[in-house]
This record gives sequence, C-alpha cells and structure tokens, in this order.
Amino acid sequence: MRWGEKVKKTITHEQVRKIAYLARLEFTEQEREAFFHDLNEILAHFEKLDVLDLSNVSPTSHITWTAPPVNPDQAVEWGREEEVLRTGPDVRDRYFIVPKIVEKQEG
Amino acid sequence: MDNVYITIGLEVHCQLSTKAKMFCRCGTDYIGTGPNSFTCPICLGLPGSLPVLNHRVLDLALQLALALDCRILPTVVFHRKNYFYPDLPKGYQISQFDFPIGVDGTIDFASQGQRKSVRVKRVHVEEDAGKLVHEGIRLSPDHSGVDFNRSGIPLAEIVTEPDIHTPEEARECLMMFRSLVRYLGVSDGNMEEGSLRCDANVSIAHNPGEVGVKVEVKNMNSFRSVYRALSFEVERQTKLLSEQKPIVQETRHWDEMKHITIPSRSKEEAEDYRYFPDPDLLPFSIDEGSLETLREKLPELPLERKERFMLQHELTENEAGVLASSKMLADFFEECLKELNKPKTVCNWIMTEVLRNLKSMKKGLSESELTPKTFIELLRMVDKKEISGTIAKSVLEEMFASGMSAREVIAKRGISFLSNEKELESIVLDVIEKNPQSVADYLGGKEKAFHFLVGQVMRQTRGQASPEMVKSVLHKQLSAGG
Amino acid sequence: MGVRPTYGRVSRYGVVSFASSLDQVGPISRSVPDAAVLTHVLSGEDPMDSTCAPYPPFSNADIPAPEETRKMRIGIPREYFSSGVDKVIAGEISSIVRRLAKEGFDIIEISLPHTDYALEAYYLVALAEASSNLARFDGVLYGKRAQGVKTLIDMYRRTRSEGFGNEVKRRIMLGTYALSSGYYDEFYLKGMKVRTLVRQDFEHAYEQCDIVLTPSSPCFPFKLGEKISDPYQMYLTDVFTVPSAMAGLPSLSLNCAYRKGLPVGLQVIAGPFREDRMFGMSRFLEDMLSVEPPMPTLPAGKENKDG
Repeated sequence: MRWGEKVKKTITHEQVRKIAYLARLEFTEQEREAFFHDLNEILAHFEKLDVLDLSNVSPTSHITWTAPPVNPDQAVEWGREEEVLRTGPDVRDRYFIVPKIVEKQEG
Repeated sequence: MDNVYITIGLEVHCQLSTKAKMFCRCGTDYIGTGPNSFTCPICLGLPGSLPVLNHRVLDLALQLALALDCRILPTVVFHRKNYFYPDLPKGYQISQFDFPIGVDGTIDFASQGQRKSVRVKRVHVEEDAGKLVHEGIRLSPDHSGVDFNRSGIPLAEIVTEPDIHTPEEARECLMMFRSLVRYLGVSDGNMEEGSLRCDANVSIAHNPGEVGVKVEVKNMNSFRSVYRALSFEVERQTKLLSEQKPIVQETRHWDEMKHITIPSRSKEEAEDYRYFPDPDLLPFSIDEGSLETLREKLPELPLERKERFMLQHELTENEAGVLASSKMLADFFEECLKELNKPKTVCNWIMTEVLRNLKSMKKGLSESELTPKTFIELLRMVDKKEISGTIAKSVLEEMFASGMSAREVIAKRGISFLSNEKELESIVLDVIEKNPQSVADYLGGKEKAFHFLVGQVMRQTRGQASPEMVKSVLHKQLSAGG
Repeated sequence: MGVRPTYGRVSRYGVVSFASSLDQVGPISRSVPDAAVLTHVLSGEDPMDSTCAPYPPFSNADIPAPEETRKMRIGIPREYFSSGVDKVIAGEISSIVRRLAKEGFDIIEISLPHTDYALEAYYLVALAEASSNLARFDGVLYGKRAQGVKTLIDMYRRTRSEGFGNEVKRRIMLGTYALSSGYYDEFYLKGMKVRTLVRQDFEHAYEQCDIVLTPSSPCFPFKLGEKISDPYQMYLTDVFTVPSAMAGLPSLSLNCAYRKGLPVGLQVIAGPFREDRMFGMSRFLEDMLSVEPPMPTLPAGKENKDG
C-alpha cells in the first residue's frame, strides 16, 4: 500500500467474533451488535492517519533515556509464596486448579 | 523408500543455567520442592509487577549464539507473544521476534565419519511457562493443576534450517547440540528432565528440490524418541505419498507408549500471537567490546576437540568421538595424559572400565571420586607390571565404590605381598616340586605344560598375582632348574 | 491540579498497568507546592522497573524562583487554538498569555504539526498495550473466577466477560484488533510511527522555547455518563493531554479560570526531566492568577439523589 492511499477501516461481524475469541470475551447478540457499531465508528477515525507519509519514519515503541537496569544472577526468596496459594480462586495440594486441558492431545 | 527425499528442521529449546529466573530473583533450583514454592509477583504475573532482565541470560545466550557462529544483532528487543493458557500467568510470554540474539549460524557434527553442517536460522531467548499436571493428587478427572515453579526460567530457542535428511542425522545433530551447551556450560542439556526439548518439522518429496508438506512433530523426550518419532513419521508420509494420498499440514504428538505419532487436537480457532515489543523492557544494546570478551572466552568446541584427539593422540574416530562428546570426560582424559603419556592405554581404560563403572553406578564422572591422579596411579602399577590388568580392574571397581586410592585398596586386600618376588618364588618352587611331569614336559618342548604350571601358581595365589610376574619367575626357576 | 511527570521519573512497580509505555504516576493536589513535594517524594530510580530512569530524583529545591522563571521562553503552539477548541477556553488561555507577556515573558508562537494525529495514534498504542496488559485477569491465579465453568475456554470467556465493564471490553477489542495479524502495520505500527513524529515536534519546539503552554482540553467537562454512547467524543476530550503523554514529557494541568461554574484547564509542558521548569512556571501562574473555585450551585429544593 502507498502512503496517502485511503484504506477503508471497517470491521466485519466475522472479525468481531474472531477478535472476541482472541481476547477471550463473549457477548450476547445485542452486545455484539453494539460493539460492531462502536468499533466501526471508532475505526473510521483512524483513517485520518492515512494522509501521513510514514514510510521513512521509525516507530517509537519505548521512551528510552539510557541503558536499562538489569538484575544480578542471584536468587532471592520472596517469602510470601504461601499467601498466593491462600488467595487463589481454586487451590488444591498447592496446585492452582483449572478445568481440564484437553486441547493438547487427542485420544 | 527409494526416490524419497526427507527434509527435517529442528526447533530446540534449552533452559539456560542461571541461579535466578529470567526476569525476577526467584531461584531456579526447584527440583524436589513442592509445587508453587519458587514464585514471586513477577513470575506469577501479579498485577503491578514488572520484569527486569537477569544480565546473565544475555551472556549465556550470546555465548551459545557465538559458538553456533551466528551473526549477533546489535540490539536485543523483547516481544510479547500473546495467548491464553493456564501455564502462562500474564496472558503473554516474553519472547523475541524480529530482533533475536543471533541469526545465520551453523551447527557442525559428524555423521558416519562425515562432517555435516546444518544452518541455524536464529537463536533467541524467552521465558519458560509453568507446568501443567493432569493426573494424581486430589485432582478430579475434569481438572488440571498448574505449578509455576518453572515459570520464568530462561530458555534459549534455536531454530535450524531444514538441512537434515535422515532421522539419524537429526539425532546426531541434537546430540552435538547437547554436547555444545554442556561444553559452554550454558545449559545442563538434560532431555529427560526437560531442560532440553526438541520439536521437528518433517517433510518428504520425490525430488530433492521439491518442498513437501510440513508436519510438525512434538513431545519427543529423549534422543531415542527423536529418532523413533522421525523414523515413524518418514515412514508414514512415504506410505501416503506412494499411495498418492494427501499429507496434511499439521502438528502431531509422539506417543512414547504406542510408538506412533498422533495428530494434536486442533484448537477451536487459529491463534494469533499478536507479537509486539514489550513496553516494560527497554531494548538492550550489545557492544562489540563485551562481545569480543565473550568470543575470547569460548572453549574449544566438541567437534574441534574430537578432530584434534584423532590427529594428536592417534585415536580412532569412535574413541575420539566418545571422549570429546563430554567436556568433563575430555578434560579428564587430557589431565591423565599429563601424568602418563600413553593416549591409547589411557583411552582404552576410560572407554571400557571407567565408563562401565560409571554406568553401573548411574553416576557422572563429576559425581565419582575418581581423579586423574588416582586413576593414573593405578595405570602406572599396571604399566610397571606390579599388578595384573585383571586385578587392576577389580581395584578400580573398589576405588569407585569406596573412594579409596589404588594403594589403599591393594593394602586392604593384602595383594601387595604378591608383588614381592621372593614370596612368589616360594610358591613357584612349591608348584615345580609338586608337578615333576609337567616340568619334564615343558623342558621337553611342550609349551602347553608351561601354561598349566602358570595356572597352578595363579591358583595358589588365588589370582592375586600378576600373570606377567608369575611367568617371569617361573621361567627363571625352570631355566635355573634345567 | 494534576501532574504527569516525565516517563521514567517515577517507578511503575506496583501500579496495575494500563498502557505500559505511557503510564506514569503523578500526584493530584490542591496547590503547586503540594504537587512538587509529592513528586519529589515519588520520583527516583527503582531497580524493580526497567523503564524507570536511573537518574537522581526530582528535588523541589531545584524549582526556579519567580525572577528566574521570568527568563523562560514560553512556546504557544498554534495547533492548540484551532477551530475545534471551545471559543471561551481559547479566549481565557489567550488572555493569560497576554498577561504573561506583560509580566515580561518572551512569548513565542510555535508549531506542533502532528498534534492533530496524536489522539488516534495514542489510542492505537494505548489500547494495544492495554489489551495485552489486561490478559492476566483470566481467573487462574487470583481475583474473580466465574462460577460453574466446565471447560477452560468457558472459564476464560465467562470470567473476563463478567469481570470487565463495557468500556474496558471495547478497549480490549480495539487493542486486540490493532495488534492482530494483517492489521498490525495498519494500526499499531502506524501509531508508533506517529508517536515518533509527535516526539520530534516537541524536540524541535524545545530548541526555540523552554516551556509550552496549552489548553488542557478543547471543551468544558461533560456530565457523568453524558457521552457514554459516543465513545469517540469521549476520547476527544483527551486530545490536548495526549501529545505530551506520547512524547513522555512532564506536564501539569491547573485550573486557570471558571466559567459557568466549570473549570478551564491550562497545561504546562516541559522538556524531558525538566519538572523544575514545569513547577516553576506553574507556581508563577498559580500566584499570578490566584483562582478561587466558585461555590457549587446545587438544584434548589431538591436532594441530590443521583449525585
């Protein structure tokens, strides 16, 4: 795509469903319809950026001022491991319990 | 299987040997402790926690990338790989995407006497996930448990180009990789414990230039299962190809019990990892100076060492290969040579007796008390014919078991007197006296009779004398008597 | 008034992340000296936050005295006074600028040409990061988990759908979309590129001036829930505070006047790690304007039930 070329920024019902899957959100029919409407309305505003020539602009992913700090390779115990086990939504025998995972393997 | 060309690429993960985890200060030595006992807000992904890189992770990964002859990228950027899974506490894994540690490397290894070279596409680092438990404890059949002790352990991922053409080569390449990480000390490379993991892409085609349908094989937990799984997969695909049935592009799991690969159940929908630069971690610059320091510190690597052993010590390919495969063993061998410069002898003893003892004790050389010094003391005795090879073997066994030195074992067993020629002489004279017929036969030219007499002496010493010495004393006495 | 210090000035450790590359902790206070003291206490390096700058903390002892402050060159970006701005607000700010000129300040008209694109870019970056940051609220380790879930996918979907409000869901959806395969370049990457342009705008501006003054918002505050059905209009109120956030610059917003009982916000933006200038200028303004908040007028003869 070349700069300045307007790309219609719309989202289809199928995409809304797909994005909801990726984000692990579920909607009622009514909610989905409202989101479909809102998202399309907001996305249309992003077309504004299409007038900019960004081909030679490097992205700023971080605001950096200097070399970042690092950790030394020395272990330090947190000391409050048990608290997390006490407050978890479902903990048995020191394991965090979730519904059975079946996706990994067949049979 | 004629006219079928096999193409295999490997994707290897190895845990890097650090004391602390990749982005927090939790320890990594959790084996044998209870679930969820090596955790903190960072590796549990609690809201408000932030990652800070353990600087050792970069050092180890750079060493590995340099040893694989990779081009090192000047900037290291961490990306988030977004997906939901219960072993992934943040809902994303901190990994790398378009700015890995190194690219365009090679891994060289020997395959059936030939030097093989496989190109390495990239080396990058990422954090390990937690561990899922599906059975045992008080879990009902419709639940799984999650243990986050492993969460945040640093991993290096190595992706090769599809330059491998047989399952055996794949196994050899992986073994060389393990040897390499152990030489470098960047990982313990233990497949059974999961610190070294391997997935493979397999495809077959009728022509070498053709690209077949890629099938990904996972869940291979040992070198043997890599070989078996890939062999099975090649056979399966070849059969499909010859029957002109389609090969499906898919991920398959190796079933260790049934010895087959089975298709993984496909997810409800395709995942989309939505990689983007992790805003919590600033990019790191790799400066040429520290890279040079790391490059200088690289040890001699297994393949070079093996080739040097063959050249310098005139060992066979197999001998050199076995000794050089482990840095510990190779160092032990070369330490021994400083004490006793007989490479062939030392090599034979290590290859047979030392390895046999270690195997039966299920120990590594580092866990045994055998040192080059104590080992060479024993070999010197054999060399000087103070004790027989047979005795030396049993002495070595006891040295391994008790941690005693050769002299201590010999003193304890009372073997030493037999190295005394005078004591042996009296036994020899006694045997000569009691077997006049055999003595006569021998003197009459029957070589067999001599062996009989040696046997008699050995029996009287209950096998504790050196046969060399028995022979020489017997010779002396018989010729003196004659 | 509210303060957002330079990105990297205050540790984010312990702060539940919304948009990691934009989030910054700052005080909300009644007076500039209070805000300065709090910033002094909050700032400084933190080995637990890689994005926290390893610089000495801001010290309120560094704030310039009024006579020093008067030497600052004030930049007024023309893009912040365009037709989209409420005329009353633009008029208020302009009159303050005239007073500053009379006080002897050097007033320089500057241009921040990408201001108009900053809002869209900000939302692309912020929502993408937020969609990822909020993924950890999945019901596995802590917090809410939906009751009676049978499968893993159900646990995720129901926990998250019951736990998040509508606006959060909308933002997660937009952010997820902006990062998704095939749309990354068109959305998220574009946002990051525009961010570069916005930063460069400010870099050029600070070659000509020491401090930038702008309205904080193009419009007066709206009633609670008034624009809930029009999210874009709601996002638009951020249009003037977003560019400095995109550039990671320290900024302070103070009430400079009241019209019909509603405040007019004035934004003071300084260069990176120049909180001293930001507070110096703000303190000068506070003293010069001495704004007193008016007494709120409540509906007569009625209890404020839904207040």
